[in-house]
Amino acid sequence: MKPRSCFLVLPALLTLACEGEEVTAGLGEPIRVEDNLRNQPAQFRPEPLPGLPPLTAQEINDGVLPISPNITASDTTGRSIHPGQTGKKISGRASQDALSVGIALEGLGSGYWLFPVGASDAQYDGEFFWDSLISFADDIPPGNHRLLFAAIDPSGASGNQLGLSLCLLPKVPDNANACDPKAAPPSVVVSLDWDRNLDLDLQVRAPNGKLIDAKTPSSAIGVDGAKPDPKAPGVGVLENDSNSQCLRDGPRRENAVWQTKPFPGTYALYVNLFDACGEPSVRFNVAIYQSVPGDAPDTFRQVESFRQSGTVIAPQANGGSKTGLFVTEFNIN
Amino acid sequence: MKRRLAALEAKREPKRVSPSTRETRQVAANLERTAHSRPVPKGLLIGGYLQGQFELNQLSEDQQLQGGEPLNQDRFSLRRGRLRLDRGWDYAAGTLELDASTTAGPRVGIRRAEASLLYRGTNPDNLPPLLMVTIGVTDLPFGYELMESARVRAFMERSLASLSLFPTEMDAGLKVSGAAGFLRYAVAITNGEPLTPDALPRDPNASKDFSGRFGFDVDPSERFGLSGGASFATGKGFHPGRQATKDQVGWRDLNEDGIATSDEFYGIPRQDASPSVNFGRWVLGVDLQLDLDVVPGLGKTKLYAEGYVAKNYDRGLFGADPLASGSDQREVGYYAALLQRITDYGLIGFRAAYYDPNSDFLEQRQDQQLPRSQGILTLSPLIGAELPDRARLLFQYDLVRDKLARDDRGVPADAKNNQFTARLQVDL
Repeated sequence: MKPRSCFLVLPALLTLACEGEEVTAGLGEPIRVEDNLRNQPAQFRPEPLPGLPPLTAQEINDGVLPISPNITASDTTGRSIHPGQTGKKISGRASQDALSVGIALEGLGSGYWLFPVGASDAQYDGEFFWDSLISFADDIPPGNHRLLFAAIDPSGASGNQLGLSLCLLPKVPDNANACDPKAAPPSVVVSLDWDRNLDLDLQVRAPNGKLIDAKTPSSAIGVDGAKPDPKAPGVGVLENDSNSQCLRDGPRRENAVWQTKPFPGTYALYVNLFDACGEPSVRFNVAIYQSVPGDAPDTFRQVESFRQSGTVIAPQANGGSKTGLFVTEFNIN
Repeated sequence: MKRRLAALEAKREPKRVSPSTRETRQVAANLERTAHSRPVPKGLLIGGYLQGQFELNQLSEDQQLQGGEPLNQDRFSLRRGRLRLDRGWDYAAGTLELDASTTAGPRVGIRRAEASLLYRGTNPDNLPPLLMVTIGVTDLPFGYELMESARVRAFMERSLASLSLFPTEMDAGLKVSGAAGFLRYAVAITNGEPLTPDALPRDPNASKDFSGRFGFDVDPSERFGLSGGASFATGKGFHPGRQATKDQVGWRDLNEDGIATSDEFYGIPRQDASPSVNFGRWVLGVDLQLDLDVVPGLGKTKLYAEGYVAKNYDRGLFGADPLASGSDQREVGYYAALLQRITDYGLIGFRAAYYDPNSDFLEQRQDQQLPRSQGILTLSPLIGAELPDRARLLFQYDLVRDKLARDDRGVPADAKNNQFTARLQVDL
């Protein structure tokens, strides 16, 4: 081979080596999309979603028609998204000239997800059906967000995007206050989260002496033989028992919630290691959130008033036989 | 005259000296030097080799798959650590080879465990016996690449087609093989299941796979060698049935509020077990190898190629199962490779390998069912340096061209999944 040929072959190989579409699981992205018709992951493209911005309400009212190719309809159940929610089904139709559908979460992430349309639907003038399952990362800032959909034709052109508003809920219960400031959050929330897959329990000793924990999940006490009423005013309720019996459930978080102002008195907080589940230790955070008035009239905010971290080691696991590690106490006047 | 006769006899009779360590190592290495003309020496031989490597892959991500498997593929690993014992007599031979690897976590397994009865006939010591019957864990007699030792192969791994059709080089079974002049033959009846840790623990069906290769190996001159053959393998794949289940309760979050309400619970009735079913599969192959020494002093040249056609035989990449997919899957694959030695100490090479795991794959695009190629072309330039019979250092770049991603229109396009490997091999 002549030296000149070598100089030609090398750049050609280098060029080929740099070509190709990036393939990623997209675990660092705020959303991940699956093509539900083909049961395959969508292709992630690290670039802005193509197309023009969605038509505004004013433009729609003025009779402006979207530029094709475009998404003509989207359909889903509910607009509230839990942190880390997976497989939310969103389907719809795309115009007759569409070849693929692109989906992105507006203002977040580093690109968009792309998958081909399905079959045409004669009932809608031959528009193409599409169906997706969308998973949401659990670290998306809570609040109102918009999913954007774009249709792409065989030449790569795209018309107006379509927006779909969603409310992404926080990890700490707030009665959707993050999306609607007029919705009052719970009066008090005590939240425990941890970093390893073991059975850690939040315990709160109420002023009436009752221990709120996984076994007795509310501070209510039955009077005169009546059953305790967990919905009574001033009563706190433990919402869940995460990783119970070492069965991984994902959140690694437990919340004790007082929807109304707790009964006055001193509340003591404990963290108890029920079962280490084979882990040597765990780091945890305990935080207290309170509802306060918002800046505007008739609005509210949820603010963090206390936070403390700590560690529990495996030998401290007690199967719930006693109260756990004392963390702090707070007073309600 | 007596002096001249004595001198001639002295030339013909080899000197009898005790073998040195280097000679023993060379004999041990020679056991794997060729794919189809391996000798069965007498006596006890101990050999082996180590392959440590570093890999870089464009698919690598610092993330985990569901289940915890890391997606990172940029790593150091022990690819192969082989220890081999051979014991040969006039009419019997035994081989045990163990393989240690960290490719899928630290693991030691059986690479080869052969018990053989043999009849050497008039074949010289540097040829296989005329007839050898082997039972145990043995190399599958198919094609060239599958039989080529990983110790000798310059390219890091077998081509994708070979890896997909035969995930492991060996299987448990009975093999009859030998050499008659320039002809080479081998037929085997085996369990038909790859011996991988994640495979079924035992052969799941009574049907055995039948494989074989019939070929030739000629050296018309010291500067030219030619070998080749035709191979087949046929057998029955296994489609596992469903296990019986008990009644269960499930929950569907119909209104997606994250709260379980009574109308969202549903029952899953128990199901009876369903039977397992076998399905037919086969593969045919042809291979050709050309050894040249055309430029004195430069080093030997090797050109070789192999092709496969198969039905339902993919057991490594996608796992062909016509009962699950609803139709037979036809596989096609080939490779062509060139190796040029630069004196005794250098090596360059290039291999082009193609594999299509399903020649009939279709994709719906808008309202049309269009053929979608699942073919994967791998171009592998290689460069290396070696100390003969001692060590070698190899660098290989795999340029992978496929249709596993989508372009900005959503049309199938090449995925970024090239790979670089640097490997140091030292013989024991």
